[in-house]
Amino acid sequence: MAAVLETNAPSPTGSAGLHRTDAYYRLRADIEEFLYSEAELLDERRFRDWLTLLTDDISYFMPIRRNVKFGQHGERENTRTGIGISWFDEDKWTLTKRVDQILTGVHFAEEPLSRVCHMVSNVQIKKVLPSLDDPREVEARCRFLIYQNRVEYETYTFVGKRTDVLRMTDDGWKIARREIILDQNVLLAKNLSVFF
Amino acid sequence: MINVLTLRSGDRLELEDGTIAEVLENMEDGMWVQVRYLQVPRNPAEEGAIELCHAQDIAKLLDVT
Amino acid sequence: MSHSRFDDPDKLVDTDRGFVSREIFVDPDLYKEELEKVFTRAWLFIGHESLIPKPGDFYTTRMGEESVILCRDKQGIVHAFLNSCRHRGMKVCRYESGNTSLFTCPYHSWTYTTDGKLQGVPHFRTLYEGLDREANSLVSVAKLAIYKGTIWATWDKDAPDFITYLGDAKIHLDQALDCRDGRSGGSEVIGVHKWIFPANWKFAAENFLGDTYHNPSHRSVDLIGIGPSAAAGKKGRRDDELEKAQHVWISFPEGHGVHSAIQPEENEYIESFLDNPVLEQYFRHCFEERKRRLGEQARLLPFVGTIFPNTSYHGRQPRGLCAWHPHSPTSTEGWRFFLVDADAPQEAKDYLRRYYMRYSGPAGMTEQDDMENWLYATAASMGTVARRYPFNYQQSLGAWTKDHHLGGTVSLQITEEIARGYYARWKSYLRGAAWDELLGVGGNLPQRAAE
Repeated sequence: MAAVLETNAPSPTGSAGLHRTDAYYRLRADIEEFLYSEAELLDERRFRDWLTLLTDDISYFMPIRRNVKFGQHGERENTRTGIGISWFDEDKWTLTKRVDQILTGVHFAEEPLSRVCHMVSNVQIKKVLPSLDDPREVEARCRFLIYQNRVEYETYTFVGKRTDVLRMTDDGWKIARREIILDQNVLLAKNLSVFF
Repeated sequence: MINVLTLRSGDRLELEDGTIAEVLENMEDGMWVQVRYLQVPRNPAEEGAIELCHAQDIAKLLDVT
Repeated sequence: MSHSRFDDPDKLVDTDRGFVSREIFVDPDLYKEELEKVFTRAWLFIGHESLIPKPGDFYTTRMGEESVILCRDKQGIVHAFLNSCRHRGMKVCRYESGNTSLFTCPYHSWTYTTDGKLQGVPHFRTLYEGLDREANSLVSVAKLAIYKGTIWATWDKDAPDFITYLGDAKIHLDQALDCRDGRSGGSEVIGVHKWIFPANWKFAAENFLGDTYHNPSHRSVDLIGIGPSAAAGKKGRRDDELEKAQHVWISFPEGHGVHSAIQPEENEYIESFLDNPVLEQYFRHCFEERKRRLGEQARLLPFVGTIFPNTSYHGRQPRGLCAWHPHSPTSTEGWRFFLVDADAPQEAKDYLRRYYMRYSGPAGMTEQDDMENWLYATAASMGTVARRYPFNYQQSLGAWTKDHHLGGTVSLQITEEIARGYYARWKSYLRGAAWDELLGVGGNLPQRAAE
């Protein structure tokens, strides 16, 4: 069987059909503001406050990425949520435990606390429900660059893409789903003790 | 120059030495296909032989299945 | 034969008095000697059958610093080859896994079949008259063993068979590989972590040898509770199933070490999965079945262990095998293979994978703290002055017995006897000892020369 050299399948993250209207840009600015505020909470180590930005049913997922043959990327490159082992495939309970652990003061992988800087860019709105005029749930895609410095000389740089589903609640936007695509195969870090 | 990844079993090839061969299996590495020699002007005794054929030995694609 | 400035391994490892030089964790010459003398001789864990179930399936693995292709050939026979073309050395496989008929070198297109034979050479007829294809096969391991699904290999044709190499550590490793209900084997790999950490590989190997003493470094997870009854309010990072057991720490003459536990005679099930009634029922069922199948032997439960030199296991939770691949004296690539019973109910598999992820590896709440320790222990041992001061391995010196039905050197209290045995064996490898000594034939570790 010959290989398929081109894929015509629409990319799940490709250009969505949202028209670049004023409503789109207003919504994007709103979402950007939310993502920057979230980054600020993490960089300021306000972990409990960060947890309040997550819906109770949040899915927080970071696949392991594998080196696969040409043409098999869609099917085999990333591990899947709900199946097998990924870097993270978590719910709010586990994320809360992670925060609890840091706040014990004896989680030595984060004691002393790392210096972490979250940068978010390339924000695009991919889907809006029910409509741009009444956005209740938004799928937003962005790039992240997270810099971590530990103790004296230890530094790690995590770069990749994120797809977030944000839900409007009485308390404003909350994160209902986060898929984190880290652009590494073998993890080039001793730990993933930062939040993405 | 053809991309051998696109060849399918049954395709007929003319090789650089004039051999006519039929693709039996695409090895899917972009370099090799397994072929059966149909006509071998330089040595007719090899007709029917099954060999790996490298991309750079393929002169042209004769018939596509 | 290379010569380092450490010509006498006895000066590096003194297990009688309980000292191990920091040099063996940081020195580049000793590291090169390890690659030559340990990693080309010992049996190394390279994968699991569930990763290559079908003919043509391959999984790219490692032995020491080197890339190795683990492959099931078209006849179904499992092979392991150095991942390097015989012509100019390019990797012939840079995919992690897959199914193939050929491994083709991207450099000059030499291509090899799934049994490692050189099959295709461009311009063979005109440029390579008389080339011996057989002699230019991919370099195969000297011996390969499949044991309860796990795959092991050695580069040493004189190495003993794998079961002999395991010695009395076998029944402990078995507990990690056998079904939870006591049936033999039956595990599958549900995923693999791969990550790099800046520490000597032996810190990781030793951590799993039965270094129970490092428990305080996991205080943060013990405080918050991440175990299978954590949501029900239990603290701690695991279940309670060993709370009434007699723990045993065993050093085996081959250099392996395990921390296992023997349940009391009545051996009753201890509720361990309170977060999920379905799981609780399933594991209770497994416990009773295992007891029925194994009888008295069901009292033995595994905890952790290291098969010399660099394969570690977690026998119960979070169940899996680790290979600690050396990258440099101060850098290690950890691979963690997570195991479940292949025929476990989906709900059990799903529960376990979630538990494994929150516990283990670089994203795991427990093991993050291990990596922090290994990194800074390595870093702080590199100094000129620091190297003058050996590590202290005197814990529970002399508190062991060789008169125990489990074999080996058994301690009933937390001990560094296992580490002492491990480094004594490491020293034998560095001396280039014969296999009799490496296996500790006679049941005793070699005594130091008469003093």
